[in-house]
Amino acid sequence: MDELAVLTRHRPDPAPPTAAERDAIRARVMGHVSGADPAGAPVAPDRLLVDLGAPPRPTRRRLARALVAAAAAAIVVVAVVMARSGGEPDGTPVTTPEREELPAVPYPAPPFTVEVAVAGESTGGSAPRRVEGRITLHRLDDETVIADHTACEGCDATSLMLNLGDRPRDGTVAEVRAAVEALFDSDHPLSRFEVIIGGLMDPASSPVVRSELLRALRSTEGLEVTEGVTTALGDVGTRYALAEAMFGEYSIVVDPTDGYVYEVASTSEPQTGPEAPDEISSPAGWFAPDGRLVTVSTIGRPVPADAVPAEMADLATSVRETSAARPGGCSSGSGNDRSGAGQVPPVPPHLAYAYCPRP
Amino acid sequence: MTERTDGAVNPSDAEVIVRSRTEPAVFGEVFDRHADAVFGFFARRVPRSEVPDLVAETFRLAFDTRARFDAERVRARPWLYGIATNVLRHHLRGARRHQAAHLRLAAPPDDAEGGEAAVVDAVDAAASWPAVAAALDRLAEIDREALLLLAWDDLSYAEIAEATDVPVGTVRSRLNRARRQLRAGLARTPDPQEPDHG
Repeated sequence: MDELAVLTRHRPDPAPPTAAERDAIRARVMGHVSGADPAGAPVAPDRLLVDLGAPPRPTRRRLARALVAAAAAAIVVVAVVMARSGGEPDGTPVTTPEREELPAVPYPAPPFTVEVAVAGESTGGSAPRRVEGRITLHRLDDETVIADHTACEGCDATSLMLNLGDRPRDGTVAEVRAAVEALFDSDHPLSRFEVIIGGLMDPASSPVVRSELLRALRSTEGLEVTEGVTTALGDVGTRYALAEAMFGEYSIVVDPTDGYVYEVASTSEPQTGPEAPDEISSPAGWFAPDGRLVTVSTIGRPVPADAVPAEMADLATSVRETSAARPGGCSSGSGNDRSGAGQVPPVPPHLAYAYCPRP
Repeated sequence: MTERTDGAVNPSDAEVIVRSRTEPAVFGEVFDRHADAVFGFFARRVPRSEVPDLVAETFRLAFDTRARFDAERVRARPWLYGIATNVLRHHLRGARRHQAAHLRLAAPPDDAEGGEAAVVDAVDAAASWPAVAAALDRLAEIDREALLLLAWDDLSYAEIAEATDVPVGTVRSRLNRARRQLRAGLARTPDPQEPDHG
């Protein structure tokens, strides 16, 4: 009996709700629907609504971001002064951890553009295969990323900025620290790694969040740390690598000053047998699982863009207006389904662009 | 409401949800269709006393975010399970609890009907449940969610992708990782159904 069968055998079979339970729940829901439920408005904290894709509040958010950036810049200046003087501005030693490292947000307000170089090399399949390419990510607003895949058809790097997950994005040091620790629900260091990478690559993560994620990263057990690593795009950072017998090796290169992630790399060992997936998805495309797969995504610094190419802006507008399904290549929902189902009709066929809004 | 050849019902969930955007009361139809499934989702994961609040929260959130429902999706269940997953995650974290404790509470009943074989099977299942729950608890949350949606909630890979808002390829990776880790965890504990070769 394989592990899935064991789990299925243990599937609990709870009794359905009684008629009374059902009616009571329905009454609460419909009370909210009709606006009669006085507790209906704050159905969930903001964080949960963010997870669910709450509509953006551009004016407030941009103002808040500008304030955060300004505050962060001021704090960085203070931090530099403290570092040079060996302590607080008045000369007292630094003791509060939140002042040890508080990086600025390395992302400008959208729209901005990020260049990504992807490489994948696999020994699986009928012959060894290597894929290299470049992708340009255009983040139009808090919800919309358009990826220009023309230089790497089949690549899918939008996940580098879209897969937001359930993470704190702002708060006090204490709140954020507790929230970050709560995310580490598994002792497995790779799960910590995954959470940390996602948070550092989320443009909406505040300086406090980034600081806590960096702290958590550096405290991860079993890390190999190499300073002064130069990436394929010429940026210099610190590499944190983690090797794990069962799942392979993972590493990231991070700018130590602000936590910007310059590179994400992984090496997975061959997977065979009935449990192996049909294919393995990576930013460089899809690969056979029966070989050693090395993938590296190198991410350049974001560049503010006052205007995006007209073709892409038109595409985003047309897709928004039609409320059509996400096209293939997106990293949300089942948009990565390469069957062609759900392709957005307005996408110009000569453009290998993917429109990827948060659902 | 009529059955369609593709197994969906008329009007489809999407049609009902779209209509509820202008006629909110129609949303009651969404509740009527899926309340039992969402109730079961939570009842398999948390003590029953906590389930009604979570079901209500899920549908209230669903109503509040119905404008974002992708009308191209005929069925609403993966979308609702996605919301339920977030509600559950928030609920457990808010209470600073680990799901394993609840999974143990949600373990299969040790009573069984259907004859001696069924009783023996149920007893074996109850005996091996602590090991399964412990192995599940060692999984990363995102991996465990995907695995339980597959094994307990009968979602397809594509539906899990929709529910958890990740690409299908990521679902494959998570399930593969979860199964390997679960298998390794179970290997450390002898299966009561296996004969003792020692």
